[in-house]
Amino acid sequence: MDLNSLWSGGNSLNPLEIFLRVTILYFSILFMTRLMGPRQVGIVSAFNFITHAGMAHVATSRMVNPESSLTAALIIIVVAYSLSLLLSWVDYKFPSWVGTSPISLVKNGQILQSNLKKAYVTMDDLLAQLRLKKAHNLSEVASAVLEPMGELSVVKKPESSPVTRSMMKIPEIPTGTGAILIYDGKIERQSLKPLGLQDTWLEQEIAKKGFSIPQILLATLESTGSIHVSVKSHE
Amino acid sequence: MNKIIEFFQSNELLSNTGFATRTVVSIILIYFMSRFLLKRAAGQFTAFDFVFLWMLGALAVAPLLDGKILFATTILATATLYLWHFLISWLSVRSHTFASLIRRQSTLLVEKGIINEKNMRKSFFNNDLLLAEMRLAEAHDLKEVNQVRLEPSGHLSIVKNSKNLPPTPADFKIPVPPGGLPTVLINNGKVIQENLILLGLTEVWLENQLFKRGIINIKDMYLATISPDGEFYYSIKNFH
Repeated sequence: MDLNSLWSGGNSLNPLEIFLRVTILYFSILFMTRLMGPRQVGIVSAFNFITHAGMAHVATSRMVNPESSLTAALIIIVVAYSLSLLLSWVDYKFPSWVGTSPISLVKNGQILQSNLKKAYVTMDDLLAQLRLKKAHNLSEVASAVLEPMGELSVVKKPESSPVTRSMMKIPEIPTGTGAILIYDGKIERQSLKPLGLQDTWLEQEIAKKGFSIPQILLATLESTGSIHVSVKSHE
Repeated sequence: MNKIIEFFQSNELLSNTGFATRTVVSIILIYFMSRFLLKRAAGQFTAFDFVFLWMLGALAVAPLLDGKILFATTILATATLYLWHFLISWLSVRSHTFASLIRRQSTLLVEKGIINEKNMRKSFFNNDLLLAEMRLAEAHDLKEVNQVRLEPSGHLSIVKNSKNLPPTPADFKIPVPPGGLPTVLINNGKVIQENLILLGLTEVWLENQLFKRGIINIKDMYLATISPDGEFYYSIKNFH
């Protein structure tokens, strides 16, 4: 194997060199996207989308093209993702610089024609989007807003929305997502502690259900205060 | 035959027929790539899943963009990508610690109705973005919301306060039928035997059910399903 042709490119790549190039590029992209986190959302979503597509292309061309330089690809990937991160930060810090704000398309069942034109949305597109959001009658729509990321958010009028518990005067109950108590047969101590719960208490509760902790795939403390368990399957 | 083989050799100048032949191979390659893709890739997209799909696409068409690139190179590169991708997924399912290294955890942006500024800053979420994303998730008012969580896919999952949620049968102690999915019994005129066996039903029972509804021939049936509460649904073929 020629180290020089692996890193800087040569006339041809042997299978081992291709394997190493793909491996190095795969992990560098994995690392950089991990660093970017879930920031593909938001006003700059199209921007992040295109950056990812471009970087995928840079990586693949260096995987298969013998004359290309691997070192250059790594530099490109690092610079591009860092810049993308910086721009996301600018966007977060100074949203007015990007200057995209939500556009109201429907208000109180009335279509706002001038805004429709401004946003380049046809009436058919609007109706299709409303149908997808389960608003089949325009009269039910209190407000439809085109968000900066290009999706439509729909708010139905209260009289067309489902009855809520407060309207029925049903007493409040705690809501929230369950805390994980046992994950794959092991007690999750970092989530037990803030709740002020003890290992022994959990062991007793699980024993009451007729199981032991290693048998449990997942145990969660639900918002209602009860424990829900999923048991491991026997293979 | 020799001519066809020529299309797959490294070539500076490829004829139009050469490109057409290579295109056929590329598309077949993409078909097989998608067949062996992990199901997750289509569901919970993370940024990396996007990049992975783009890399596969770019690899598959590389021999079309440059006559010098061989399919052997593309296939070897794709195989390497798949090797790592499957290995990482395999390890993620087996080790919690490994999974948390590779995949991001979800972040709480709003907790008990209060915005968590530290997590907002870490996730580059400003108030405009939070409100816009919440509207999209059908929660347009912060006062109705108990918890907002940013998922690794970049979407928000929202828990509303109980008073802003629709009541459920449990609130009124209304008896409910068993829930779950219906099972397909007849699909396009054919009885699905394994589903009948699974439910402990027989073909004779099915024929009786159909007969009661005035259907003599199973072949006339386009679709028949049975709900968990034992109710029968059917749709007869349209004869034009």
